Amino acid sequence: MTKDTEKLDVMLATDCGSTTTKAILVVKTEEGYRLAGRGEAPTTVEAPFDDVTVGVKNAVEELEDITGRRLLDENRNLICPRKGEDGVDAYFSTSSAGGGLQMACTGIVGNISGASAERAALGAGAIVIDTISLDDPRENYERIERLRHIRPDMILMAGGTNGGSRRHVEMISEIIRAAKPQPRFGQGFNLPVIFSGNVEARDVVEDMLGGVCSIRHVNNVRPDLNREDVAEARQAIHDLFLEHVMQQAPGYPKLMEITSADIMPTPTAVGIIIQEVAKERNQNVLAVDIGGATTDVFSVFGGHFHRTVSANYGMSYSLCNVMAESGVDNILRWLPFKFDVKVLRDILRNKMIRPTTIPETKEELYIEQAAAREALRLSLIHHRSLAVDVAANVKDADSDIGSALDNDQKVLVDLMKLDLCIGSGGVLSHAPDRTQSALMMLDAFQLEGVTQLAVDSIFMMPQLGVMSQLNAAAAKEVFAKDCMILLGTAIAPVGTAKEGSRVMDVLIKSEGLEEKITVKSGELIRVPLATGKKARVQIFPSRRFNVGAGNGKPLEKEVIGGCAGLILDGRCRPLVFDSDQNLNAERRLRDYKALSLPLE
Amino acid sequence: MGNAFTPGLTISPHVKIRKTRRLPVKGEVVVRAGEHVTPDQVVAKVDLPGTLAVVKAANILGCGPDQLEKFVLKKAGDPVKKEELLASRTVFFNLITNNVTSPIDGSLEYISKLSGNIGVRGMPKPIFCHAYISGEVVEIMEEEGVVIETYGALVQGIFGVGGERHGKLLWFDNGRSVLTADMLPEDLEGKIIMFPGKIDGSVLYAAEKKGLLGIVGAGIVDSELMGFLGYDIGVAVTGEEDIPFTLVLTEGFGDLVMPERTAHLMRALDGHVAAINGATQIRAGVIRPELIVPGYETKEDLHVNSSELKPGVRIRLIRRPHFGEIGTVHELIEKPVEIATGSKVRVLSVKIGDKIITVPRANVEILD
Repeated sequence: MTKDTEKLDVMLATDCGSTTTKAILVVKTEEGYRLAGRGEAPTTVEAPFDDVTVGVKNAVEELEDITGRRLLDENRNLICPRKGEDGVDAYFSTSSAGGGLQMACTGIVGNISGASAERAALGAGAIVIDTISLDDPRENYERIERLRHIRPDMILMAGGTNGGSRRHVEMISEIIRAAKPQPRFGQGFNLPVIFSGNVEARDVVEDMLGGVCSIRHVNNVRPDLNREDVAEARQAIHDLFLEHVMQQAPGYPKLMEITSADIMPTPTAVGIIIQEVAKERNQNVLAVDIGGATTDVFSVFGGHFHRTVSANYGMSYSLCNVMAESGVDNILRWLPFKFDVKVLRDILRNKMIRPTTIPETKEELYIEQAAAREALRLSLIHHRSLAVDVAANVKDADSDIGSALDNDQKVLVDLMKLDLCIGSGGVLSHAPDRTQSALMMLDAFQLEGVTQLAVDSIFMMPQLGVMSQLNAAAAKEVFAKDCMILLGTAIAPVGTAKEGSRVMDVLIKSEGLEEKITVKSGELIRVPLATGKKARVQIFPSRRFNVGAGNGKPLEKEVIGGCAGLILDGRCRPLVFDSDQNLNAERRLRDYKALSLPLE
Repeated sequence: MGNAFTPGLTISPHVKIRKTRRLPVKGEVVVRAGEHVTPDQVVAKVDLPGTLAVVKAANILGCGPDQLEKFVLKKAGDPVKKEELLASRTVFFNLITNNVTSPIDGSLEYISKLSGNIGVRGMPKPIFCHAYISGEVVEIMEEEGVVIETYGALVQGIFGVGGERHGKLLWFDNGRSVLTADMLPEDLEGKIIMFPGKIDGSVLYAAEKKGLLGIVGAGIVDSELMGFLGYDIGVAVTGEEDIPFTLVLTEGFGDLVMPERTAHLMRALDGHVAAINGATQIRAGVIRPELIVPGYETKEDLHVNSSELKPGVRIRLIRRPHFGEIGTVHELIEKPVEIATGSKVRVLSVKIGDKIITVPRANVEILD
């Protein structure tokens, strides 16, 4: 359905999540485009409803109650186009219901073609359940069993530079053929396979997989070792998502009929918004969305966009996986009080089995926030391992697996160069005190240099991302005015020093006032600076510390305030932890007090 | 959202129970609609294709991939035995013969002119889908499976480990809040023990020795369960654990007791044969562990879960500091209230004994 952007004054957008469908209404007012309201309802892709549109209409009904605007007609159908004051000019939707788009990737060499396939899939909004490559440590029968077991929605198959190896492409094809994986939704149709490897090996893939899978050929994601071309593969993933996965999901064919633009996987939509923000501000941006089951990380550094999803790090369903992978001691180290390990484990398990419950005491709130720090930390490690510059120092051809293993790719996410860090998801967006969100991100990511911090107020980035397809101006305006809450700016020099020794002096100039603050090692200082207010800071790090200009070199910058003001972090990088949890608790208690975060 | 509370799990003495029994891939349904089935009965079966073994035939024979076909003695689809000759080439004035044999029993699947490889598919692996519960086949899903229906008692747990089993139920209540190994009675082989309080970790080790098939309890300390399993359960998908019994927890982790209604029903089920499954999945498509007694009937009033929170309804608090406490809804407070964490949330007041406390609606579970 095409729409005249000029006439899109009232727009509805929904995000159909795994558990909740969130609807927002954006209306053009005298102040420009603004959020008029938000409603939500349980997602209804499961029995007894088996129809996503039931949940959508329930969420829209709540929106009607909140805004007082009639959006559904007497038959509960959406009024679109608008009739006078009733209805909307356009309706958009994103979806991650039913576990989102789940894919498997294959490559010849795991960290070359396998990694390119993974980046292509992640950038298209998929969850990559596994990447199978000829150099991974598994035996063939294990790879085959794994492919059978995971039942992906589709497979992205990469490998072989153009004109390179055909033999290895055939070996990968043999694995897929042997597995004959069944699609997750629906029976009786062949699993879609996108071949994005050596263009001269397409006949090999047809020969081996024709009849077993539904094959689509696209440009090679790794045409040569120093180049990555993921655009066509991503488009094919998007098309197949709409043609196959969405057609099989309950109620989606109906939903597709009433939307004004293609339904997007939720993370794709968030990625669009993040890229817009980075481009418009000319900034390096890191954004994170921490959900119950998964944590998505998005980054734009030097114009390069990357998105990863850590499928099993989250705050409810995946909470105990965070505990299993990080270790319970790593969660304990973030608590500003001593706590019994056994009880902590029981609390996290009980949250996992009753995910909709909320903390009633400060103690439990801080336990959840401690676990969130570990989920965020692990997700960033995962993200940094994939957000790399492929052109850097790759040795030899894909056809010779052994010699290509030593490639040393450049990690793009350089925290010292990060300008803006945005947090989203319940634990960050709904923290009772916004300063808690700032400290969670500062701790988990161990931010470096000068970084502005923000959170998505009510998690509406997905809806704004999909809306920007037809009305980018409206999406940008609502994002700036109603979505992004400024938390403030953190200044964190990198270096180590004995506790109590000088880390930096900071001269802050704002509205004719000047204040000089000395920050010592281990210290965290909060300087009030109201939301949106600007200040000029001159930072003089001691000779062992770098704040962005080099060790001991001063830096001058303009900073913006927010709910948490200006945070001066002298706690060294990397942060110091002790094997004695009592000492860690004392340090964290000092941090909480410094930021005026109450313990009682 | 209007209903911000978690609905209670089904604890019912007599309810319609439908179980979908589906093969992992398409196969053959071997029962008819209307047929009565028993737990061990096979309702559907399939032969899963065996694994593919790839033989580098052209390399062994010393020929080009495009020449391979003329040396191959079999054709695609032919059955082959392990060590059976697949291809042979005699070279060097008929003095040397290179042979290619099959590494496995199975059938020849392909001969590749591109790679020079021969693929042999292993023998199919039969997979059987059992009825799990006794009941009537009410629906046939062609080539996929069946739906079995019965009426009986159903107790849904909150978390479990271990897969489908069935055995005789044994109610055990010695008035203590914790069940330890030394309290266990003799002659437990093939039985499912039910206890209204916390299961001590020592019981798990004893269960293995005594041949218990199942344990149903209110709670367990997480570190004791993980210590027994030998690893930490990360992602909350269970049911495939390699343990000789199934554990179902009705309340959660820590020192917990069952509400009287659950304990009352379990006491009444003593001596009956039950199906038990610890499989748990907490996510969209939630799966809860369960205990099913097909055919159980009672003259007692049937309890039906209410889906509405209102004054007078019995609820359980499911978050610390009141975790496990039971009371009745006193008042639903309309406007959001700031709680101790600083969050503003929708709350209700609950009467527990002679005290009235306020708790978030998200942290209660309806019992009646």
